[in-house]
Amino acid sequence: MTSTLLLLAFAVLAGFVGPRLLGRSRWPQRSPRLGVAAWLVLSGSSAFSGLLAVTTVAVPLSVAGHGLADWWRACLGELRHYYGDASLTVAGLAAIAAATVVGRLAYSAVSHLRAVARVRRRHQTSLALLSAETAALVVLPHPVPAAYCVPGRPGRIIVTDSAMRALEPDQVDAVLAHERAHLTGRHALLVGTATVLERTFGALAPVFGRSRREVATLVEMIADDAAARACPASRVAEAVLILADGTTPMSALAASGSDMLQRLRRLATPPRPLGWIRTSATLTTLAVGVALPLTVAAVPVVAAVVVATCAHPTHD
Amino acid sequence: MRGFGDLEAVIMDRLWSWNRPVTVRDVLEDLRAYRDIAYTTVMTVMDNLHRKGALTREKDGRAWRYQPVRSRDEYAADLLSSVLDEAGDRGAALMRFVGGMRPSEVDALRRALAERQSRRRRT
Repeated sequence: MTSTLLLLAFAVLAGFVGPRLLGRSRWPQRSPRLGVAAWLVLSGSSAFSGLLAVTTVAVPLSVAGHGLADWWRACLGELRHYYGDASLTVAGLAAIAAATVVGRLAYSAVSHLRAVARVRRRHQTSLALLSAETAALVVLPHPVPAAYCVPGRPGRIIVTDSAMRALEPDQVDAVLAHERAHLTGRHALLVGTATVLERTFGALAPVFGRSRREVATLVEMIADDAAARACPASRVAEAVLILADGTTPMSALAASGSDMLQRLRRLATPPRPLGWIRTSATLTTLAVGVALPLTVAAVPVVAAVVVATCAHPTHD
Repeated sequence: MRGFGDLEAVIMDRLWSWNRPVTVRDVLEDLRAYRDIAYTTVMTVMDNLHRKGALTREKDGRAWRYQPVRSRDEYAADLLSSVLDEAGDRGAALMRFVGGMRPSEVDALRRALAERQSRRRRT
């Protein structure tokens, strides 16, 4: 019971208060890598502790199936010698909670990965007729200046010929550095993780939607930093403007605006990265954020494993 | 150049630049100038491209004459429009340099760009 309440408190804190605090602070833009880690830890640990807590509370009322109830009773009888009644019930249910969490997450992850793979495969098949398979950079004829990358092995960068004409050589280098940073930094995987969390738990707390948007913006900032090493930040900003000219406008009703203005502001006045003291302090906080729900959850999970392993002998 | 995929791109490149119906023999003779390649290989690849809908062919005497269904520009435009039209949801499948924006933001950015360019012309 105590662990449930603790987990629930942690989940609410990370799910509702966390995004407000982290969303308001300026440091993630100064060290976007650390920012990505912070958002993923916040949303990940909220999901983890929340579902664990909620399910441990919710399941006793709905365990109606007789088979399950019998199995349960037999198991409880066996272990009643060793543990108290109440804590054992909570502990056993944590096993179901864990299975639910893993099941839902796995489903979201698999469907996301399949959708992503489908888009990439279709894209690669079409691209195969336009360029050699081994080419890491493909320039395609198109009137809209644009650049993007297709993550995968090998990752590829596609730039339109009109973008090559509109950008000056150092800006082309910057755009390529930006896209390469996405590929080498596995940014698609980071955004994908946040997306899967949002798809699974997005309706439960604001942290998941916010985390996905922030991670998407922060990986762009990481890539912008890579671009700014190839040419001056003001020239990168100009390249962003040139390539922004070709974007298809979103519907005016779209839920969120783009992060372009944030990115441009950041390129105009690049912030100083966090010093080592604040970096290590943040890393410590993140480690605690991961460890805390794990520690609190460990007690019922361990007990749940004991319950699961004792199920067979009592069944005969 | 390795693999069949590359050969597809090479052959499409030739057909696009010639811009007239050609036989497998025509392509083979052109490729032989650069690399050692068998007639059957070229025929197989061109047959695949026809099956995929990238090439059309018509009988000319005993041989088939092949031609791209669409120009290189049209083909590229089709591929890119699928990427460029997908405004907003910058999914993890493809990552664009510049994501979807609201119309008002596009206007603001266009103005900023015009200003910047006129300033640069003045200096």
